[in-house]
Amino acid sequence: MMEEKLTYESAKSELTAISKEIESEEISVDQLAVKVKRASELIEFCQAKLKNTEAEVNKIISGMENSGNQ
Amino acid sequence: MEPQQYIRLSALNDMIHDTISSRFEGQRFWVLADITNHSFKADKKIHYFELVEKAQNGNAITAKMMGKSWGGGAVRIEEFEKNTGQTFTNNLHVLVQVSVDYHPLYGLSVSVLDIDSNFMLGILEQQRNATLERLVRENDYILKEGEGYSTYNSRLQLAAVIQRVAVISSSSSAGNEDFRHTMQHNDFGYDFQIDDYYTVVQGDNNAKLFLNKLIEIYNTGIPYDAVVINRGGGSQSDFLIFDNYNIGRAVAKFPIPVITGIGHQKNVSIADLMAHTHTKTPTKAAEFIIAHNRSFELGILALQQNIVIKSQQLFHVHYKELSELKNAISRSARELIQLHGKELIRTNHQIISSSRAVLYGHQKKLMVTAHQLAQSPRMLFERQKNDLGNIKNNIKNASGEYLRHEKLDLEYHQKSIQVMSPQNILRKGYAIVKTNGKIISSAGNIEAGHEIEVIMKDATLKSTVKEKIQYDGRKTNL
Repeated sequence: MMEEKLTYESAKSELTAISKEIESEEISVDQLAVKVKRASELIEFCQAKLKNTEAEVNKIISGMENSGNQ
Repeated sequence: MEPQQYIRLSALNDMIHDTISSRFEGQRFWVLADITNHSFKADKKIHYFELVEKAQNGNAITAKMMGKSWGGGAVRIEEFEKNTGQTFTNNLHVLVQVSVDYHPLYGLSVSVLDIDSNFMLGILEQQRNATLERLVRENDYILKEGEGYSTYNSRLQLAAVIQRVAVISSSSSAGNEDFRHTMQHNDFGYDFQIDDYYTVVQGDNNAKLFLNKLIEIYNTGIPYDAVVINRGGGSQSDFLIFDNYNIGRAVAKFPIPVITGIGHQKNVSIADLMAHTHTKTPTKAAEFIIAHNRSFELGILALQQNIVIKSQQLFHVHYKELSELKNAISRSARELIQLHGKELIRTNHQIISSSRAVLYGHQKKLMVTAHQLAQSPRMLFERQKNDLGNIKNNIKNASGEYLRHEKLDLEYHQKSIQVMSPQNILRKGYAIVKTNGKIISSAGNIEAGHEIEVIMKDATLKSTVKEKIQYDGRKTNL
């Protein structure tokens, strides 16, 4: 489902756009479920990306600290 | 000829010895002189030399005396060397305390009993200042800045990390061993490449060798991060090589940063002043390099720490942002649904109430129509009845009128007919002419001899035409 090109930034800006759309009630009920579903996918994507990145960064950092303490 | 009176040379020398002893015995003199022809017997610790005095202008020697020093004098010389950093050697202008000796075998000489360090220091200081002034004067890359000096070398930027080091020292230097040991056993596990360039690091006359080493380092093409000049503090004599003009100049313009670790307690040497960084001992030079690298590592560690903290903060921000977005979307989606629901209910109500209104309107209209419908036949009947009555009256009136009119008309026609009836006309004098039983009005077909009937009011006259007279178009002249 997630396009290969999707980046965290683009996902987030899409999310923000959806949020604004819904908030400003520009969205039609026909579209609502689709948009909310899309939003939940994007949120899932972003969270996964964040978690992965965080895990990776922590791994790198602990690697740095270990090599620093040799 | 009487044989000449003579004495043995030894007797003469004894006389001279006695004379000199009686004159100079126990006396000491402070003498200002230059040293030449110096030699030192290290095993017996005896200095041999000549004291000379040169003419004020030029180098012509105007006075000369053999000299030596041993025992207490040699010890004083050693102290002098330690105090001044100046080797007791040729061409030294010194203030020495001497006693005058005469030896039958070795002749007249002076023994140096003491030597004035302060006098030497004064001279050295003058020389040093002169050398420094000359360095600044003759080399545009050497500038005096306050108490210190800025040189091409001191303005070089040290590499962020110093790893490849060329070291100039004497091969036997304990100080250099200290340097190597400190470098190789540093607490942080830094690796160094240390290349030794051995030379003689004492004696002003060895300056040329020292300079060649610097050139050799440059010519290797090895990209050294620093050149370290080491000399241990073990022997406190003769640091004057480091006050040498040419060495100072070479250090000042050397393209690799020079770090000095020249162990001496006295004032800083000119080489130190011209170098990038000067430290007091080889060990301190090593510590400086390690500290320099350590500060780089600390900088890196601080960056690392910063990255850790900042990335955690960044993650926190993003997680928060994401969850806010999530909440906002689900909240506003629910709100939107509610809103639409409410709108739907409102619309529903509106439809109900407006459809009721429509129904009511139609019902009302229907009732009105029904009412009207109920009313109208009677009116129609009434009107029809009226119309009918009217018509009846009209007919009644009109027929009477018509009959009367017709009667009048009839009467008129009756009268007209009575007036024009043949009886009436006959009565008025007119007669009817018939031929062959038919009434005629023209005499066209009547000719003389024809039988005609003339009917009159009271009789018919059967007659024969005697003559026909034509009227020629004129009216009947009655």
